[in-house]
Amino acid sequence: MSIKKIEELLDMEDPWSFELEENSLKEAILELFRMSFEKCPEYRNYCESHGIEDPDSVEDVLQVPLLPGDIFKRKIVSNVSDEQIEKICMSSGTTGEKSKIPRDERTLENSRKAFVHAFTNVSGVKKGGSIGLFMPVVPDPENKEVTWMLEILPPVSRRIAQELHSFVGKEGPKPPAETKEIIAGMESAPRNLLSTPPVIYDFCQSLDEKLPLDSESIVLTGGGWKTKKEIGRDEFNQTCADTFGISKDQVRDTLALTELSSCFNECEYQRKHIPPWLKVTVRDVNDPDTEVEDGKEGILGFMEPISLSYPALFLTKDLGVVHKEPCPCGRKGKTMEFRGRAQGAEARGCALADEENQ
Amino acid sequence: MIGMEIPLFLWGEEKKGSDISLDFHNRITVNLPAVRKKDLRYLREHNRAIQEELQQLSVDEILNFIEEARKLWESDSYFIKREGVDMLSRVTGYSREMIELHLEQVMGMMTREYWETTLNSELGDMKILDEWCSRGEASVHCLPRGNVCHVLAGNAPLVSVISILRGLVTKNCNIIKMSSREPLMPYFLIKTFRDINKYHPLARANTVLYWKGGEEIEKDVVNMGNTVFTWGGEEALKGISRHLPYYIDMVRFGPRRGVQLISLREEEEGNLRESTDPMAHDLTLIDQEACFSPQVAFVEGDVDKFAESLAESLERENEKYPKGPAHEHKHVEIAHLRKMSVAEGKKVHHSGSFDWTLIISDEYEPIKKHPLGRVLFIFKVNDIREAIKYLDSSVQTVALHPRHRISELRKEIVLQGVDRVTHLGKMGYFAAGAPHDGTYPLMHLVRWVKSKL
Repeated sequence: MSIKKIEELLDMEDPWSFELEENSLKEAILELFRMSFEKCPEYRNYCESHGIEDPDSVEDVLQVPLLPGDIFKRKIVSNVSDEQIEKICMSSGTTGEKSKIPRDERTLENSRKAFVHAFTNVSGVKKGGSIGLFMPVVPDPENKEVTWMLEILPPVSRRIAQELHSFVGKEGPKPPAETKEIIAGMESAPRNLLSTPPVIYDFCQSLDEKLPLDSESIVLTGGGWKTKKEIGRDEFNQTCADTFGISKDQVRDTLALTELSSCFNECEYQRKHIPPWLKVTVRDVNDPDTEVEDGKEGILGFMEPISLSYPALFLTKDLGVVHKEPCPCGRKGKTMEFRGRAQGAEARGCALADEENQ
Repeated sequence: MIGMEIPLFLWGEEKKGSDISLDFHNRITVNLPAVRKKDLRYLREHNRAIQEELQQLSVDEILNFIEEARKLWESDSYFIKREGVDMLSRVTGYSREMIELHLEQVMGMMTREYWETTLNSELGDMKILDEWCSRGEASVHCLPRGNVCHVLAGNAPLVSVISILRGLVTKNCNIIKMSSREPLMPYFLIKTFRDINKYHPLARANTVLYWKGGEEIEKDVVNMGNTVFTWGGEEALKGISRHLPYYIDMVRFGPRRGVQLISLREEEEGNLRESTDPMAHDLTLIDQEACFSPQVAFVEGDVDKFAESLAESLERENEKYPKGPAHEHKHVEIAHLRKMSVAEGKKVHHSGSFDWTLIISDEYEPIKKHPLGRVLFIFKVNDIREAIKYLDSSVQTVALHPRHRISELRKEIVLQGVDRVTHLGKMGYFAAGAPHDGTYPLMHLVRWVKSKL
């Protein structure tokens, strides 16, 4: 019942304009916890190893055991039967272990709605315009195992935009000149672009003249620089502004994790807004079972009761901060700062720490 | 925060400056000058003369000089004990107690006895560095290769001293690249040589430089070496080797790991400390950052009782040698690893903080990533022989308990690619005259010449 109430937020016009009752999210998280305890043997074992035999004994969300995020890389941890799993959503990238998240149709639909809200209500992508994606837009319906971003972004873009264009063909990325022509030919304004920062940056660099977009266009980025040399955010924004004839605050970043069905989008003040159906819990680096107060850095954990097909109650290895101060943009709720992996010292010496490098 | 400035040395001459600032997690900042092209010209111009002076020294004179340095280091009034320990502790992030223990080891490698044993063992007879000796039907003599370039690692300060002294005892000039993780030890050693006599060839035979790995100057410098000793991880090894032509010999030290094999005897069940105390010492040394450090243990016997005893031993050892702050950045990873292990049904013992962690499994699985920082994976086996098949050439050192089984199992173990078999508590203590990572390092620093009268 509590989850249903939270899911209703997804059908609102603008969930960030709504003051959620304090207990609603808590109740939904506890319902997801009890459901996961009952339906997911791995999660139940994990809870039992934390001394929880009866899920009803847990009344506070901070008592809910958070799975280590790496568990999704080792096995499929699911609340539903194999038949109910619509897609197994994997992280992108070509190296390392990939997370595999089982999503049923209800969770997928919740996710599509959540992304649409974040793109439009937070990042300001206008409905009825056009979106150009630097990725294929026709997912393979035969495959159950999919790359999460390829699965979620095309249908979300279709719901927002009147026109959808891909800058990737069967042979791979289209040449910049062809991409430029497609953008110039998009008829529905505003024209928006969506890709990773390095792809957008390289595209900007490849152009020998400016390519002005529209006054309300948004350049929406997501993902990191991976192996490319990272360009500072200011320089990146300026490059986009200069190339596309937009202001710097029309460049908005998205944080999306395969393990989450929602995403965190930037507003015009480039702050990432936490959706009201999701709890970001920041944990003490030295004691991850303890939550730190808002404004302090710690390990990021998530509790997401719109993800019903798996225990979306997990801890990452990333650092971040939750800010409770109201954002000047006027949207309700908290914002989040993602600071990535704890910065280690560089490799010190002779001890073998990573066998994958051997 | 404390700041300090250290010079570079160009054939023993100080070059001061503070172009570069290395910050060690707000514990200390070390400032030092950058290497310029004109510095390299100076090095090339004066290289030959210093090589010739060095060649005039006898091994005996060299060992006397090193002994003098050791005596200074042992003195409470000399800067090493007065200030050096604190600085090293701040730079490395190891506790003071750990640095003091480590320096004891370093000083053990600065004795005449250590080097006589090493030279005689590695070259057959140390006299061969000074004179022609009969070998078979010929007269044979060992000459230095010329310049040894040392690309140092920062995990253990001892690495710098052993590497530099290997160069000097074979009458080579040293060109030393400080590690950005631990730049102090080469400075300490050369400063000591200069304090003894800054005009002595052994004080002048050393060039100590710093640049960030991969910088343009790297290729020019490492190509001045006739042999290159590279210590460290994969990135360092790859980075240096791509600069070197085929005729420059590069000797690699690292990255490797240690493994412990423990077979508990029935009569031992009541006295597990006999094995867990030395085992804890091995794990504690250098906070598990060394190539010999155990990362995995295979235990035959009651693993649960054993882990309890090991936990107690680790607590005691941590009191003697507290874990330093070097691994604070790894707390997130270690916390995650502990949670993952619980989620996978493994048993986890830990200190309550991040001083040590034991992860116990019934079935072996390869460890793909190891966070170091006193984390030991323990696998239960029915017979330690079973574990030998899991060893490979990534393992440098295996410690075996009980020690009487070393002679029974060592052949099988080394055939897997392991280079060293020892007993518990001794993984971090290398016998004088023993090979290192499968080779006799001094052999790479000399040129064997022959003559027939």
